[in-house]
Amino acid sequence: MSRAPTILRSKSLHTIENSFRNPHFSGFYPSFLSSPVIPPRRSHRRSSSLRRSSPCRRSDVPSPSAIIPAGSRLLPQSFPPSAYQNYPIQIGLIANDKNRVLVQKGKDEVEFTFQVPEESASHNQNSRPTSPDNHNSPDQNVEDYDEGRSHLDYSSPETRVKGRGPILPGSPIISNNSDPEHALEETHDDTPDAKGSITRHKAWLVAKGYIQQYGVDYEEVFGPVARLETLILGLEECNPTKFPVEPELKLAKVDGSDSYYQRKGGENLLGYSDNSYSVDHDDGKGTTGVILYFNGRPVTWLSQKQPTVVLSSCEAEFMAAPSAACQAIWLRGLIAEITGKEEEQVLIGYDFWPAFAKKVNTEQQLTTITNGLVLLTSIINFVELWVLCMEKVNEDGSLDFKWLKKKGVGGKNKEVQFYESFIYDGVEYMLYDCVYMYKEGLPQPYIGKLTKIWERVDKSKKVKVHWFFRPEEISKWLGETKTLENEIFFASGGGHGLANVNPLEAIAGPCNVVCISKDCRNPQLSDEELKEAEFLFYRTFDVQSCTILDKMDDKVGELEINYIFNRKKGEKNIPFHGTIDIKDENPNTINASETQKIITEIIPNILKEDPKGDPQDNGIPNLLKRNMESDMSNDQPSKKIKSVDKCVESGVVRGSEKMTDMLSVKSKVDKDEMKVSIVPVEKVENRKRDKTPTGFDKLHDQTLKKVKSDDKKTTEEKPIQLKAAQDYEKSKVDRKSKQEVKLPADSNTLKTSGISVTNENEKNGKISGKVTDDLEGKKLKKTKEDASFKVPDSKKICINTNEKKLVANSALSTEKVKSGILDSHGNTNNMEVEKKESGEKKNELSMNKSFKLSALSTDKDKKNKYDVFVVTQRPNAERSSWFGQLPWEDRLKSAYYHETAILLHNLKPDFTSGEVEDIIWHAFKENCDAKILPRTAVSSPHYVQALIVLKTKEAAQRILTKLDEECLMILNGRPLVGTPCPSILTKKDYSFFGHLAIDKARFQNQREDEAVFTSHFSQPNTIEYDMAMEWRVQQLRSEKCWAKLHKNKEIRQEQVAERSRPASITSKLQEIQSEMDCN
Amino acid sequence: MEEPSADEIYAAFEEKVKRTIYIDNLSHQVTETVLKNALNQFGNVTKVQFIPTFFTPCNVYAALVEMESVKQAEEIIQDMGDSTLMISGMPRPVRAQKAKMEMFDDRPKKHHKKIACYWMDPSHQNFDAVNKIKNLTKKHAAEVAYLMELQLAEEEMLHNQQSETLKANFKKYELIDGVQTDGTLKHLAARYGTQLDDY
Repeated sequence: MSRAPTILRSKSLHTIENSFRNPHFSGFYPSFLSSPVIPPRRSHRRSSSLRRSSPCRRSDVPSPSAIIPAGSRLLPQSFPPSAYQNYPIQIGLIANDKNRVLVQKGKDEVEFTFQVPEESASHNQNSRPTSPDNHNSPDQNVEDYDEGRSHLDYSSPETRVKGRGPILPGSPIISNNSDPEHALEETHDDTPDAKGSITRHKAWLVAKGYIQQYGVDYEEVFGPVARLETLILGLEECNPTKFPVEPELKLAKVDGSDSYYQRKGGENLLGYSDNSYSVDHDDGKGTTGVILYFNGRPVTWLSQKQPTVVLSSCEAEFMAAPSAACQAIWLRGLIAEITGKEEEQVLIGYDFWPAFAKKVNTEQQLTTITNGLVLLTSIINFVELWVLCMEKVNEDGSLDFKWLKKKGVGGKNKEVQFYESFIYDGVEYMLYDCVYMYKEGLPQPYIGKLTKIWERVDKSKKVKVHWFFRPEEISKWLGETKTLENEIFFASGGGHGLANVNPLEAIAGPCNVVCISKDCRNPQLSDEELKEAEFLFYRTFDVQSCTILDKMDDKVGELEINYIFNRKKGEKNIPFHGTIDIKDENPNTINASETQKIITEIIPNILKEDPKGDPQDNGIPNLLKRNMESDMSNDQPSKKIKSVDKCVESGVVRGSEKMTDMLSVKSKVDKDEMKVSIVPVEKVENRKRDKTPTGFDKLHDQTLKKVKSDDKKTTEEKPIQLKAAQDYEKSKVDRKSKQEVKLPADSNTLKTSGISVTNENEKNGKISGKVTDDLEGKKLKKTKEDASFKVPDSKKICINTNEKKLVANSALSTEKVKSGILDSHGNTNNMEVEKKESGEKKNELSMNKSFKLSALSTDKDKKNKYDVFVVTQRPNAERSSWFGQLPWEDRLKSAYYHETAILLHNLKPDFTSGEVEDIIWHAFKENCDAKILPRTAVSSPHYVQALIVLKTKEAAQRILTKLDEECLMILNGRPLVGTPCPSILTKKDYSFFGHLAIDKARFQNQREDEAVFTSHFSQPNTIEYDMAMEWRVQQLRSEKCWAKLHKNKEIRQEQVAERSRPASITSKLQEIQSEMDCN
Repeated sequence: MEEPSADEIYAAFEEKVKRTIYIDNLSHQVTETVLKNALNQFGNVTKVQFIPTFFTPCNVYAALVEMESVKQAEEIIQDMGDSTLMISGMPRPVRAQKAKMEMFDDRPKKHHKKIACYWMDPSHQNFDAVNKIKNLTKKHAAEVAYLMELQLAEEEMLHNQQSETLKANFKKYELIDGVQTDGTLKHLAARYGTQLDDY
């Protein structure tokens, strides 16, 4: 807008045309002729090289500031209004020689003639419509109009010169008609004088034949298009007289009765809008009517059909109202530009429903006008009104915002208020919550973690967001790294892309992100929570080095690690989750226990037993030994066995005493104490382990080979676990459960220990194992979903030796607990009885109980392993990623490339893709994408194949080997066979024979080909027909071949199967089958 | 509540299968529009669905065409069996047959069907036999691939042979044409005093 525009004259019309063709033509209108377009919303954010800058709000409701900045954009702020106040309005039209514009102005008819002066070097003073003399002068020279003379650009000489290319000395395009010096003089003539009026004009230079050149003389060309309003307004401003349009304008009403809008006097700019609902009976569209008055006279009016069909008259009104607002915005800018003073407010009358009128809720009132029209003339800034209207349209009234918890003040003058939580759009957000941040134009919102929330003095709310990366976003650096489903990466390192400050309004919604890091500091989650989570992460992405890091230090970016990991249970919304549990069990504890001296022991425990469970809680050695015993009964037996340390034994003795005697201790206290005790035991164990590695190894040697490696894993986990207090004890169990679910290869972990225990047991000849304590393992296997809930329970059971009730509890709560568990607790009950009976043996029992338990569990496991399992819908089958996926072909291609695709054979023909996915889930605990290969004429009619795409190469590899080494049988079917995905067909591999063309003929027909009907029956007397018959023969032959092949295959397989199917299995299968059919 | 609807879906699907014909021996250039146009001559095509081909052993380009009625579908199969329909090229005719349920990759689930699986105990007496089946399956997969290869080779042979034939024929006709157009024929006719018919 600040650029000096080019002089355009009718003479050089061709120049204009060329300019329009010029790619650089920007279609820029002179400011006061510009159309009433709302400036686009701009998002104010910084950009970083790596990633997005701040996203903006999801909703379409623009924030008031985004719509229109303070003051109108149409008016440059830097330009003092006084500078042009003296200027009369100039009106100009680009015209060819036929063009004449007639404008009635008062009694006079003002004629704007656009004539082409031929070679006239008219030095006319600019004729302006304002000066009456000039109006009447015959040679009025409107062509002198140059739209750029918007008075803005002549203030600095540079711009002037820039816009005046032709007269620069040495300019190559100066024509013969004028010598440069003269031209230069002319330039000076063109400047405004002291009063600001223009004395000379340069247009004549162009008329004389100077041609300006793009890039040299000008850069922008304006197509001067005048809106009628401009003319009217201009006339209004110049010389208000009677206007042809009556102030009382009639707008059509649908009911036939005429209504008149009463013009209110006094205000400067006043607008009314109304609509007629569904006037057009053909397409049901309504009509919008808008009229704007300036100084009591209508300047803009429109009555136009609405672009879309609306459902109610109210909605139609919402459509009409903004168009009035739009008009008003533009008009305001225009008026401001002309008059130099900005309208403070614009009154716009809307015909709203009374209900809505109330909602506007400003201290303004409604005015009722004729015929039941409710005219809302809120004297508020119309922009705000407009926003309000828009908000109403979006039915987004819930965008409320409320600060909740303050955190503190900061900044230089303590003017910044920090917060911990707030409510936005009906959702409560807390510090360190994960949120979606929406950015326009992106298919997926960004994910970030709120690390700071504050409000500045100017009431702008800001959040600092630490980013997560989706794998797609950093695919460049991911390379071969495999990612889990829904895995994202936390930004680490420093610099660009780590975190950004964003307006709070950019938050699009909460996002459930959980950390599945195995890190001991990370509270582990239950499966249920994992299922609920939208995203997982355990790795970070260093934004500096652009690498994936598996480890997290104490600080990632500027964040403490404990804010990155999952929140501990106790810190969640239900603050003392743990204690609630405890209370539930109180009665049991009391029943079971009698007390004595224990209180003394308990006190220190309590002190340390912080419900929040600081990870640093770990090392309290003296406590450890003392409390060791209670845990002995429940924890990994293999380790305990070799801890034949006296110290431990004494501890055990004491513990058993305690167990029996805990009576009147407050149950809660008791409970707490128990929890604490868990920690130390492990610690002791570990110490033991370190000291006596040989014994340990021996132990392992006795166990199975496979078991061994697994066991190592468990033990490796141990030291980590030590650090944590009781919360971690819980989470450990969770973690185990997770492992069970995730890595079935690892599923023997628990068993392992069990086996080793049994061995040890047998050696000692103490007890024959029967009962299982390893509830964890088994339950997890059977009822994975509930693992997180149950396992802690079972833990507690052991501690308190209250098996009965608690197990019952857990059984109730889960419903899925199978008989094995019931058995186990039955047995433990017995044991408890025994324990009470014989004081001497208590100790042993408590120790051996676990051995037995685990022993049984191994049996159980083994049995379960080969049990028939019914494939149900896998738990998260319905959860599909809601951001869409690549097409299957593409996924398969990349899967083939990454070796994650497997071809499954021997599936029953009636399986669906979803069922295959279910089978894989149940058999391997892997989520996959399956696709049954559709049968074709050449594929076997008996069994189908399916392609599955796994998440990782490892998973695919594992499934392949497992399918290979072991046998996954489908009931009444065949063993499932997996082979790596064969090479994917690419475009060039498509080979199709049998379509012949004669080169010449094809060439001739090329053009016709597209249009020609491309199918036909061949006639029997052609060469084509003969050839077709040859193909037919070939087709039949291959058909026969395939049929025979498949038949043979089938027979062979059936033979083998028949031989292999023993009566026992068959009957069993039939049994199950019939049972299932009954269901 | 769900079950009847699932049943209905399945019934609708079965109905759809009956209305659908399976067409193969298609050129890879055949698009949906082409196929639709081709079969609209016989009836009204409601839907065309190509069976995706992913890898070489099942290099069959085929499509499922759903017609408006079962009768139409049957008629088309009959027609196309009797004579040879060329689509997007010649002389290899396309082949049509009734569609089978398994040809649809988006077939719905039979609601009462339940799947059960088990891992076979390696100590089980049949473990070896089952392993045998597995090996057989793999072998068969290889056989299928090989047969496909054979078929392709055969097709290629036929193709080449026919293209030779066609070329020869074309040459022949061109020669005849040339003789006619350049006046040689007339000369010869004059020379031998024979009457030439118009042409």
